[in-house]
Amino acid sequence: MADSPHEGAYISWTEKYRPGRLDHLTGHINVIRQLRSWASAWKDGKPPKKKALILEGDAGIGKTTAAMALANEFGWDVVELNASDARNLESIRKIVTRGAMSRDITDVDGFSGRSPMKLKMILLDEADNLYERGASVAEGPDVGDRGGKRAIIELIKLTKHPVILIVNNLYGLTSGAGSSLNFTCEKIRFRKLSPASIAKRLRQICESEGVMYTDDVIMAIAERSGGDMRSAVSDLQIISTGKQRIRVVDLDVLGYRDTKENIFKVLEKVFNARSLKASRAALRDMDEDINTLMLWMAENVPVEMGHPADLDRAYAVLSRADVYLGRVRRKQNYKLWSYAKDTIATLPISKHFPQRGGGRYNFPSYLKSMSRTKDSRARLKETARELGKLTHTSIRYQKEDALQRMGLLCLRDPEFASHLLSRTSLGKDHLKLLTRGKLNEKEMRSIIEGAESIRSTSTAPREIGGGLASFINEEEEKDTVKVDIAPEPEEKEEKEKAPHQASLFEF
Amino acid sequence: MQEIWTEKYRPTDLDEVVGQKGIISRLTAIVKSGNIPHFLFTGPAGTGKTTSALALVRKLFGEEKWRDNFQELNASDERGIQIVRTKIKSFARAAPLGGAEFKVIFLDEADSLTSDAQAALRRTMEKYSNTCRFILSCNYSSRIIPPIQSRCSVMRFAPLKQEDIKEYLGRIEKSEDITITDGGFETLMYISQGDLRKAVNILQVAASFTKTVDTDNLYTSSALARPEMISELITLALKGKFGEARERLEDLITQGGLAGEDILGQIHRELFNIPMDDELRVRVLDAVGEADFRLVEGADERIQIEALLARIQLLGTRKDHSF
Repeated sequence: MADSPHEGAYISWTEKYRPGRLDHLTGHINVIRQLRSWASAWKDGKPPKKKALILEGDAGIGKTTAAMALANEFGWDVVELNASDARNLESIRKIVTRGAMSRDITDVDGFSGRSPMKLKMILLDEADNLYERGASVAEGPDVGDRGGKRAIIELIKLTKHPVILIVNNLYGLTSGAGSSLNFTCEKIRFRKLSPASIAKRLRQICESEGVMYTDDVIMAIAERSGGDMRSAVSDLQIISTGKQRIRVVDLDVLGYRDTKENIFKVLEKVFNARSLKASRAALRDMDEDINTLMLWMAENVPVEMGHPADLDRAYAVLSRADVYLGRVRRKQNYKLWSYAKDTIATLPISKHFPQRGGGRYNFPSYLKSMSRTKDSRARLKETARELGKLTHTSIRYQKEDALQRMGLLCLRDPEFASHLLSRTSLGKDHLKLLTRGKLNEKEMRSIIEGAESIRSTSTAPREIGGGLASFINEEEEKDTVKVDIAPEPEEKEEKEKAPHQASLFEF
Repeated sequence: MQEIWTEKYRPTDLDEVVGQKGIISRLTAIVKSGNIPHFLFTGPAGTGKTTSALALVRKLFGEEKWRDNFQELNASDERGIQIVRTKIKSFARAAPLGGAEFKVIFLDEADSLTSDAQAALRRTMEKYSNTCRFILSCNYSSRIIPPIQSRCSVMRFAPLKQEDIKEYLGRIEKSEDITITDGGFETLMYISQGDLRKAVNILQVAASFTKTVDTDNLYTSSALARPEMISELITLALKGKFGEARERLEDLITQGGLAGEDILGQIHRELFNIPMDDELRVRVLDAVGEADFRLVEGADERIQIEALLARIQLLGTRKDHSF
């Protein structure tokens, strides 16, 4: 893969150093084993039971690289479709009918293989980005991914060639119309790369490029990449371009670095200020957003304030500042910012008792864990909504009181679980969440099959309050379906205030 | 086949509703006339408000067709004005199906609507009263704005008496072929505090472990089904373990998906079940109330609840709790 063109031409290091062989892939030892065992099943020419493989994982950790390397190792040609291609029913079907079903050499398009009987790997990158609802009207009916999931299912059913689907988020692919993919595909999850393994690769690249480096610059890049090898390599390339030696200061050109450095300094200055004047000055010179500052402050107040009385005083300050910020947000009264800032400046006054081990500040974990758990919170809400509908109770009641119990009952009695699923539109992900991952694949599968058989035999309405109610789509804000409208009395809309402030926790 | 017992044993006929004789006889009489006013059902949780509404509509429209002209919404799911403007309005203005005179909207937990939303609801109730009747349900009628109350027939559901609960649980005992010991009954009464839904839920979990339900397995199974996250949160803070309390809080928000105001609401309720000095309890209660107030005013719910935990830690670790 890494055969560079002309000397001196710019070539991206992420491409140049993309491993061409599985053995050169950083980390992912288990993944490589799974990949090989799936691919080996194709070796004798007969397709295995699971003809498709889903690779799931965050951006930049080597999913596409691994797929390409796998094809390389097994001598497969690659037919690639990614998000920039239209992947609607038609274009995928074209692949199915023209190539994937047959194995002879008369194929067209990507399937004009040179040697007969050679397998071609069909690679669908970004398969969780299918726009199932169809393209906008302006784009016309052909460019969307309308029916893309159905087409993928069809493709997998008919293909005589290995198929690999790559996703960041498995649920994006297997939700709704894609649920059967859970059973028909082999799944491999790629874990985040550790900073150490990223650093190792960065060092190799530096050595191969003849760039001198210090350990702290390598570690700094590796740590900030958040497990994303691609971004780490590209960061390395940016700061190394035109240089023979790189140092930590070179990182300044990369925007994100400043944030952390600056915030650290601000925290240090504020917490250690000997006077209100000094802490005000530190805050005045800060070019960080005040909301970001609040996050860091809240995270690190316990680091600086060990005594309960100090901590309470400090939080009283933050709480007060937060109220100002809330009023700024709601009333658009930006004047109040200065009060928030000055209130924060009084933080060091809260400290009456010395604290050992201060000054070691933590990165605010909160936002990260909010975004990490975003999907599972969405599943949780769907579960709560469905069970709420079934039992005539609210989402809140379900979350606070009922879900745990339902999960327990599902664990106690698979029949109960099947029944529950059959009456709702909940699937495997929800079941897994509900039972806290305590069921194995086989158990979940048999529960889901049980639910399907109940559904197919039952004539009972799936949920109470259907009928006319069903035209009001849960997800849709506007009423799009036409029904007979009762004669409308004189329309005189009252002036209503702005909608209720959405919770900050709704991301 | 195993079902959720609260649904399996939910009375479908008004006559089967336990403990609300006066209300039921009035509802039955009104239904016979074929027309109903707007209703406001008010009363504690698990006393039969939803069940009565469903049974009423069944009787009104008939077993076959009641779903066609009935919509159930829970106001706590969407508390803002949007639910009134979209879902409620679009249902209210649609013409009734199948020759019915009107449709019925059951709006549960109506007291969780904001006052703006209630004002908008009032307009909708007036505007579409020809084609649509409302049954509102709430725990506290005082949280419903007077103009709405005055447009509704208010039905006050009384807390259920022991013998009512016993009668109802007896039906389940018989049908499910389980045995509830005398002690088991007492325990169910005690834990459920007159909330029949709660009693049935606890009973089902206990019965999933054993056919003979007694005090011990009721406590064991209800603890399994509902770990005391909130009381742990408070207890940790009281003991001076702020760091751990804060971690629990983060779990509740990120994994439990709970909103800040709901967490505070739960803290408020749990506060009276956690063993502590009453002087201390008063101080903590005051802090919870202040946090709730600030949470509404503030920008970041988490900061307000963390500040509360810091205050609880201070109160809990201080020797003297007097004012």
